[in-house]
Amino acid sequence: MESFIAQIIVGLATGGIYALLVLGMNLLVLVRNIVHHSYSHIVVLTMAMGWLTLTHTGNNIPLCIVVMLVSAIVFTIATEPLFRPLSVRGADLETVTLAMGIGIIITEFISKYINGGANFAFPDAMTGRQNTINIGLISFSAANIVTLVCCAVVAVALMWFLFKSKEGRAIRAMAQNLRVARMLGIPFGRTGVLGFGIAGLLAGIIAILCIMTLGAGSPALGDTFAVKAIILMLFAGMGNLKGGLLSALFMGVVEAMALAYLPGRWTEAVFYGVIMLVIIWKPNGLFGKQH
Amino acid sequence: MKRNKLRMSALLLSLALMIGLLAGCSSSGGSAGESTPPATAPAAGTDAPADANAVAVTEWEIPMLTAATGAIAYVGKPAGWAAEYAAEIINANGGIRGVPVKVTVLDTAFDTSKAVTQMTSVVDNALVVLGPMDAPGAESAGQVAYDGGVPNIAAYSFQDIRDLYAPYVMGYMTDSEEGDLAAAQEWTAVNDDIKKIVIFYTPTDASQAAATELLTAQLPDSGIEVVGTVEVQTGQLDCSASAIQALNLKADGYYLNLRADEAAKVLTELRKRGVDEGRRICATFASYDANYFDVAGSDCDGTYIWNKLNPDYSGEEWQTLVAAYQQANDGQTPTAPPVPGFYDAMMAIKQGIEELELTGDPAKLSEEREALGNWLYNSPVFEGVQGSFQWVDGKKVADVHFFQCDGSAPKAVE
Amino acid sequence: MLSTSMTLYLIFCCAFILLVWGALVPFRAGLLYNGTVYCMAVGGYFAAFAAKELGWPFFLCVLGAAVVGAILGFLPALGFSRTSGVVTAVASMALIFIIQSVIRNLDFLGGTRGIRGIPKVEHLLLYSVILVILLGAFLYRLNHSKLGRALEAIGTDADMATTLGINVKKMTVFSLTISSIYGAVSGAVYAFNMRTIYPETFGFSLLLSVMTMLFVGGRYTQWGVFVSVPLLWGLPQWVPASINSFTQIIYGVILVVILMARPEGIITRELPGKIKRLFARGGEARVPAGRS
Repeated sequence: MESFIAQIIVGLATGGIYALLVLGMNLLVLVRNIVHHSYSHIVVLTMAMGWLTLTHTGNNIPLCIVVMLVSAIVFTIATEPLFRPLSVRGADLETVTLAMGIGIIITEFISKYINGGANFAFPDAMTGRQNTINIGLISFSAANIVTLVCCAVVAVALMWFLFKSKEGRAIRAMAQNLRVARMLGIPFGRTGVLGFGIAGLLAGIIAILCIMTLGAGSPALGDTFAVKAIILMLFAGMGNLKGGLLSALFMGVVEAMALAYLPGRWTEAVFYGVIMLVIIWKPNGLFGKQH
Repeated sequence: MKRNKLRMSALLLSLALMIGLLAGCSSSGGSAGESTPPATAPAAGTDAPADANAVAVTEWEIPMLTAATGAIAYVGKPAGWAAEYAAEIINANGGIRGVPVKVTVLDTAFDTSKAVTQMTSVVDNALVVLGPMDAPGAESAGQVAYDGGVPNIAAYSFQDIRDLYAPYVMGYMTDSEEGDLAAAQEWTAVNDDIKKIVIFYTPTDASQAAATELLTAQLPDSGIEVVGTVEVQTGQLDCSASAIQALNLKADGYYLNLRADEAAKVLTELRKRGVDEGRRICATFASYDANYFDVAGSDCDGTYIWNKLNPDYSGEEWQTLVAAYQQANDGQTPTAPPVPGFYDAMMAIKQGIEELELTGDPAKLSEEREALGNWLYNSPVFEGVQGSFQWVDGKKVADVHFFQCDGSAPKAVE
Repeated sequence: MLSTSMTLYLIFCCAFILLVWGALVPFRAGLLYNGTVYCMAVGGYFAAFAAKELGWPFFLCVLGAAVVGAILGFLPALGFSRTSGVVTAVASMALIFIIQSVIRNLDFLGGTRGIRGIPKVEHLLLYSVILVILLGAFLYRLNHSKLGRALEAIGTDADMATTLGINVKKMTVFSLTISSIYGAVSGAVYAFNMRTIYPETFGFSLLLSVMTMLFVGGRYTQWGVFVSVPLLWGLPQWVPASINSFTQIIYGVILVVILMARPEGIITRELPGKIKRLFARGGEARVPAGRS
């Protein structure tokens, strides 16, 4: 029983990270109707920027956090013009591929220039590793709690912003029908920058939470995250914030359970098989698409 | 009209193919032209037939295949560096049979098809080939090396492969399974209260799987029981699930037969969830790098680890190498087995060429390759940079080193 | 005579041309199908097993791989007839992870260590070129047939295609199955060229390079691959050693730049027609612009 509870907490912690990634990607679906496959890579690049700041300033944590948030916003907004010609044409398959291209560049950049391609570990002061409560096998850290709280807060805030506020509605109108939105006088560039800016801020927050829960980053982390996040997003339904959140948390727990109780050799095949069948069975996702 | 179109398309298709072929030919011709000519020295022909064993080349060219880019570049680059550094040392001491040696590093990018491509590009002209330094790359390229009949010192870590391609393939480092067994026996002998152990391993890694099998079969002979194995996937984000699974088995010791990434995560989770004594944990050589010590940090304290080299080895030759390495790599110390492995391989090749009086003459290439292959496959004992070693049926036989961590720094155990 | 390494390189090119063609067929119907790589693994492993353990000759292996690939490609295709767009792209990506995992667990396929010692085939380059010509001619016929136009109609507007009386589901299954055959044949050629085969080969990075080749070459005509495959596969050998370690970044940049600046790829739909007219002008100026 003790280990069962421990596994659930572990699952929720990873699920929380997945959930935030899916929220960020769903936001971009709602902003520009694009599947931003390299969003996860930007998160990892932000972690790398944080690591660089820490090593060059002698572990100046406040500065590191500021640098991370700013660079996440800058990186995300910088990708917006790349997608513009394609999103104007409504070519969604090309957009995914373009994002994959950006992902290749970021991954290779990190493996060449950050810590010589090795993993970059963060100091205990940054990860908050000492703030951990242990009861036997059960262990939860401050980072786990912050992550879950963040999930809830971010989801509510995004939903309020996109569905209640004026700017949010304009952004969604833009994604749904570009021509009509333009005719109504909604500025194309500004809404994009606003939407990508918010997604960038979220990327910065995710990067900080990743540092706290994982304690280290690696060049391959971007691809690992990206594949999981994009599959989870489709599993729940593109653009569905609530669905994405719930299914990411749920899949985090399922994954932990599978790793713990299934014979390891077949876990991957079963995991992806089930997800594929669900996607085929409900092409719009378990919770349906949303615009 | 329709037929016309068809004809036109056939024409275009063949045209495209022709262009492809031509473009290919010219480019290969160019690159081959650059690499082949130095093989024969103009002086070779004028020599009297009395000295048939005179060196026929102006420079020994040794290709080195390594993953200079890609996921394991952080091991691949030091491997290439080690071979080039050995060439520098050899040249500073008068070269091989009075002729300088040049190492050409070719990138395999940790990709089997690239490894085969690179091996194919050198197999016709090389006397001996070093690398690939990754096992899948070596096993794919080994077929090409064997067919071409060129001796190849690379990551041949399984005896069945070495038997299959005998006498052309040699491992650049010792076999992992035996090191694992020796380390596990040493670890449980030093800590005699450890009787029941759990082994963590990645099932997709053939070498880890083989070692886990060997430990499970052999350890009971020394009175140690393997109470369970826990599978950890490559790139697994969170290893706590695996750690909890292992803790449930109520063992006395935990053997981390994992790569550094996963080993560090498992170690952290084990320590967090109640393994207070570091001495109950022992890690394999694959974990011995910064990805393990930096990420796990203070959690390493008291734990054991083994490796195929000792970075603090006191030999003078090794100390010079470390100093040169540190100068080239911002003060880092070499921890990866390919560094002494390929340095030693170069020195062994030098000795082989000298003892067999090889000439490098293209006309005698296949005999000389065979002679060198046979000589290396069952070699004499060499005085390596980290102590003596030898090849027995292509298997490298050398000592392994055992460490215990003080903080996050491993200290050799005598 | 060609050098050994040149032969190897050209055969790799043939294998990848076939593979990218496999991805091209469903793309005509507006589907980015990653299952082609999955079928490449199936075909490659089948050919390796048949040649090594059963001693089948080359063309029988290729034929067998095509049949097995068609069957194993047909089954998921039935499912994917329900999906479209990004959903198909991502869901079919899962197929790759599944087949890798399955192969690793099957001991008769060598598990994680793969199959070694696939028999050498003499004149493999000639055979691969023959396969490329045969399958290329088939693809050309398909593209210019009623079926090809039906696929294009689906790709342009699925709803419109339905009103025209095209059975979208059947056509999707058809195109995915054809794509699987191409993938399987390419896998067989690849296996015979490598002479060893590993589950790790058929992973995410292979998928990325296939996508790059497809999008850079031009995904609306079958000729684009003749430019992109030799170029991208040969890149590491042709660039000077000093920038060799940047090849991965160069791939990414090429992909991004092409998608932004020339969204149809290097060879666009109009280009073959233009070239044709150029040739026709020399002889007789009666060939009108092809509709391809």
